[in-house]
Amino acid sequence: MIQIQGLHCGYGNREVLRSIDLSVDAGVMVGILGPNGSGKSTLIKAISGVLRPARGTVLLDGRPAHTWPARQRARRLACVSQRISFDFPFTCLEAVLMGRYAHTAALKGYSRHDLEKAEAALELVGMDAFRHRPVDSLSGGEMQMVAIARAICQDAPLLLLDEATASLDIARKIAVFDLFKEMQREGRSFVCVMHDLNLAAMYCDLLVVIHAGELAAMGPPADVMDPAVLSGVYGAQVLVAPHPLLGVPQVHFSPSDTVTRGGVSSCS
Amino acid sequence: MLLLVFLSLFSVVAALWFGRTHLSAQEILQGLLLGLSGPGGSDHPLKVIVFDLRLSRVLISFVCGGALATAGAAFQGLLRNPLADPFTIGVASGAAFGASVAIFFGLSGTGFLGLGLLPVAAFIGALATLAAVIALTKLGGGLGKESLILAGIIAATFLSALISLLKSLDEESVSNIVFWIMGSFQGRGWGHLLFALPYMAAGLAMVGAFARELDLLALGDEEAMYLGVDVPRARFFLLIGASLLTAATVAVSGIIGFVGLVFPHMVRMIWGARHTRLLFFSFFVGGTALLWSDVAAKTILPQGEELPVGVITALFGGPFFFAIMRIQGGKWRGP
Repeated sequence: MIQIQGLHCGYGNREVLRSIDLSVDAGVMVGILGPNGSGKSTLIKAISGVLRPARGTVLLDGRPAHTWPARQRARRLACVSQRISFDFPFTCLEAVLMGRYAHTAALKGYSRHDLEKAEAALELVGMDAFRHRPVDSLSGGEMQMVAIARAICQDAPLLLLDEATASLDIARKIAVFDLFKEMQREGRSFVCVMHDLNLAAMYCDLLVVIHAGELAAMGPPADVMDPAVLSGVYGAQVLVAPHPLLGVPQVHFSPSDTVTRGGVSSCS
Repeated sequence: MLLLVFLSLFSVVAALWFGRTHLSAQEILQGLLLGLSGPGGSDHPLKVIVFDLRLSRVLISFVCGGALATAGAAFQGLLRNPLADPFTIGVASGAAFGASVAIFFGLSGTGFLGLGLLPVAAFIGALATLAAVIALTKLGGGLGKESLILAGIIAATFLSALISLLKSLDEESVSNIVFWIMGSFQGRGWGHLLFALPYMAAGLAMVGAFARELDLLALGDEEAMYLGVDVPRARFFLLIGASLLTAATVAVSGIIGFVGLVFPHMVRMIWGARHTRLLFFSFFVGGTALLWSDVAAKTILPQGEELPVGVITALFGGPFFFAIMRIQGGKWRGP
């Protein structure tokens, strides 16, 4: 689905990502981790074709991502950004319906089928009661749910999420990822930039850690959620212990003066 | 929707009543029929007053108002700024400069295709400014909203300086330039309408064809791209379309403020933000509003002198906009 080879890219003369290799197959959930400013969002932009690689290639279904015509590309991948703003009072349903744009013919409006898809997506994320509310009257988290519904009804096999759930409360986060997991079983793939390491370890099949623009670690959660790796990347003391029910590794942070008070090490 | 179209049609007919000469309904009907029966043949005074003078002026004020409101709605979406209007990117300043040059060189009376050279000069000025603004945005990295607004401000500032220069060089032309800039339909007729109509039709078609893209562009360029919009292409056609509407309007009417700012707002408040509806309704609401503003401009002074219609729209538009701001409340307080 996605093949990235020797990717270097950035903005103008500033190179943000260096020598990235990554491939994403159908039906997997990939978590992108790393500290602020490490280049996670830039990677999402490169995959989505908005940003052109300076060197190397990003192939989306065998063709460089930035060369796809916009409409065809939007049928292959959908993207939810970390911050959305609606400057005009569209209703939630209208905002979600925009996800169907790539499926409509030029100059033609949205069909009944598109409308049904949009309504179904709103229902899926539990926002159907809001369908006629103007989006700009919603809270940040609710707006984010609308954006997620929009991406779902775009019906693309690949979803890119750039900290899309960061502003959601814990129940909504879990609900959204459960929904994604279900969609994943139907063959869709996800690439999610995440700051919540524990959520990432619970839901992702593959974790990719980016540090200062380079690949710091890549592998299944059990390998990547290593105190040595995470302390090195985040520069914070971490403790890794298995989840009491699921057994997946979970991270615990402690204040930076803990070392002097007793020391921290791996419990796994 | 039908009601709106009907109201506009009704306004066009009803506005024929108002003018310096008082006419009965029968006389108006007679004048209309005379005008419709043969092209320009009859010199019957009723035909001249009703058909040649009044109907043409009513229609021209209607399409100009419609074009301004539609262009305003398009620019507000394109620039993602509820305070944008058709004049934000400097096209109108270009028209004003073109007109000023024509007035300065005393060419305003020169005949050209049956109408004065003034609208032609204004139109050329507007298009040249549009081309300059687009060229300027290339330096700023494309047709993004920031570079468009900046390039527009550069153009508008520079051109208004040039207009001031022309005014100071020739004091005789000052009042003509000022009067033209204030905007008026006085003395405008079929020639002006026929001159502006093809460009307006082209502009409406372009903006209308990209109405759905305008919805998505309102989310931001990157979002629109993710959703499948060919952003540079959509922005280009919308910019050209909305600018054509503005240029054609300003060329025949001068600069009429507030119509392109206020009515898109009003329509958005009543009928929502979707641009397919917004553009269509703005056209009819803006057209009807400007038509009646022009009637007011013709009749409001007791001695029968005319006010520039730009004065009327500004007079009503200011408080109107204030009311909209009150209703919309804190929404514009920024992020």
